[in-house]
Amino acid sequence: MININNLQANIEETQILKGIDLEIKAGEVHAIMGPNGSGKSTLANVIAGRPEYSVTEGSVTFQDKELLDMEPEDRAREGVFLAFQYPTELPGVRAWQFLKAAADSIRVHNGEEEYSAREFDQKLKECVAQVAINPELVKRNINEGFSGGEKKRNEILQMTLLNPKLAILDETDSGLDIDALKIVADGVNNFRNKANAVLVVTHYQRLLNYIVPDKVHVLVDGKIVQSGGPELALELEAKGYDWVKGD
Amino acid sequence: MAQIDARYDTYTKDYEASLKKSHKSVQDFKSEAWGSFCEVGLPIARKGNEKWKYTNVSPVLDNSYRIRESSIEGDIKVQNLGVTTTGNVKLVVINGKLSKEMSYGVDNIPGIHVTSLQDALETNSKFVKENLSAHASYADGFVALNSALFDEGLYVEIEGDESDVFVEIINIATGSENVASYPRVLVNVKENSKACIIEAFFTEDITHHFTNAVTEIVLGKNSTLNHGKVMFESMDSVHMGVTNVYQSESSSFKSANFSKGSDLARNEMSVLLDGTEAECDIIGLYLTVDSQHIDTLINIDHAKPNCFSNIMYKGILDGNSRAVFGGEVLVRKDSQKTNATQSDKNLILSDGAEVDSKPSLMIYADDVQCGHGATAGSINDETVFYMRSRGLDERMASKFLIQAFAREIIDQVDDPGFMEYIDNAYESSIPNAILNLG
Repeated sequence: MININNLQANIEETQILKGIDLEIKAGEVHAIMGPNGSGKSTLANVIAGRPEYSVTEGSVTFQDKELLDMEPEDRAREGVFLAFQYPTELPGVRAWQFLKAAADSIRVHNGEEEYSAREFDQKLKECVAQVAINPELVKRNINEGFSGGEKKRNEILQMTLLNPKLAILDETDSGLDIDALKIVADGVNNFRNKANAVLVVTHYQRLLNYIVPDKVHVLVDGKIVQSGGPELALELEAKGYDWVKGD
Repeated sequence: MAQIDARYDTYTKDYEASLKKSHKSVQDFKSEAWGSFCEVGLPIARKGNEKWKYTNVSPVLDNSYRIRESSIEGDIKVQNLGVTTTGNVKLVVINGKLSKEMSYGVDNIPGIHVTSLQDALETNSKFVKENLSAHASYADGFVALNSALFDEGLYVEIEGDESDVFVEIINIATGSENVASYPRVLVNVKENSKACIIEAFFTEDITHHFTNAVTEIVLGKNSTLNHGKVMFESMDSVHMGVTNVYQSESSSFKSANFSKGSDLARNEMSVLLDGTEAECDIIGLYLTVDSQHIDTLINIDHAKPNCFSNIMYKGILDGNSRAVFGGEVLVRKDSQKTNATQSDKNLILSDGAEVDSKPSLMIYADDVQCGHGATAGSINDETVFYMRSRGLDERMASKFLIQAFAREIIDQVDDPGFMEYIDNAYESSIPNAILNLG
């Protein structure tokens, strides 16, 4: 699905990613863990194409296409989705219209027709029910005045609706209480299937009790220092990040 | 008669004709106004004139705008005009003259009384005599000109709670090029009464014309008026509009102003808060493209304590257009506990567009809460990346963001039909611009 080779990236003049190698196959869920400032969020954002970062070395091939050559919207249309750590409020942008435009841009890219208003309404209703989000939220402006938990759930709603091939969750668990965490995890578990892939970026092991990954990678100072199965997350939780740092 | 500058010849001819067909009581009123106009003239010399610093009104003289009656009555489907299809009362004013044939709904509502100002003056209406041109001042040449040249005028009196009734005054310029219209309205919202009045300005089948509109609104004690002004005239027209509002104790005035027409326009609104606990809330949105020049001036006079005022304007500018915004809030010495805020935010879509925004506060009381701000800016990068990460390209993101910017004002319109109309009107006019994203 996605193949990252020797990825190096800067923000302004500071190097954050110092050579990442990672392959995620269809049907897999990978978790990236690491201490604050290790580059986890940078990795997620570089894949999605955030313009503040400049890639200095390496490649990211996504379904045999070079992702780094594409604009952020083209990556989204190809099937990359980033659930933001801090979802942006869009004052005045109606959720329904925005979500339809997003869904349609992806459909058109895939050679499909745009949704009719009625079809989209139906589709959105199904997704709303699936992620147990308050239906009133999609009648409002995107993320405007939403609580932290509502914003995160809205990201999961968008993931469900847009049905990407690769979903990247950037610390979606941060700031969530246990009930909200379970809803987010249910959303991801319902989403995952043999044909798509998920990359979960998290500081804590907690989320991985609910979303069981196939592989766990530990990122320290811009490099993956250790990879393993789900048990690695538990070990990290028990021993702390100093354990891998000192390795 | 006073001597007048030869440049005003066409106005002189129209004045003489207008005087001839007026009743005696109106003639006295008009000749006084004309006398003032001859002295004051139009604000063409702008040197040292703060009120007209950024706006050149000389195009008003360059074309020979004349009053002309139109015979199109019956050709326009009134139901399709105006801002809602549900408006229960429509008063149709063609080239400044009320069309009784096209207007409807007035007779069915006991609390709404509509007559011409001419008839009201003729029958010695105390209120009209005392209030007509009492709030709008002849120091403003456009007020004097309108007062000398208006047709029969419109007097609207509201008694009781008629807030469910949507009164639309639909002004249409039509028939022949370079027509001049002088719509004149006096609104009397009596004590404890409630009303909703929209003034809309459109053009049909012509391009160049001049509208000089004056509206005076008097709010009685504890009364409420929901007001709207829609300036959607042709892109080659000139609109000079003045609205003066007098507010008594505990009255509430809300006004939503939307502009996207005219080549040159001025919308001036002055509110006198002359009773305690009075409140006014004035919102507006201007969209300017090509070479349009739109000037907005809002004056609020806090003459009594414990009053509230809020001005919230936004502008979207494209092409080589120019917008001017002036907000002048005066808090007098004894007007303690005043709460006054104003803001004007602008979204500039092209390098050629320019806004001169000047909110100002003059505060002479010491126990007040006041604030003002003006911005001209772009969109935050984070917002844009969020939208692009969902598959929207820059053009789509721009369109959403421009609409969203406008919607912050549109969303504040109370009447759902009016809101929908405005929303659609702007959606179809949003410039196809790409914001300077990131």
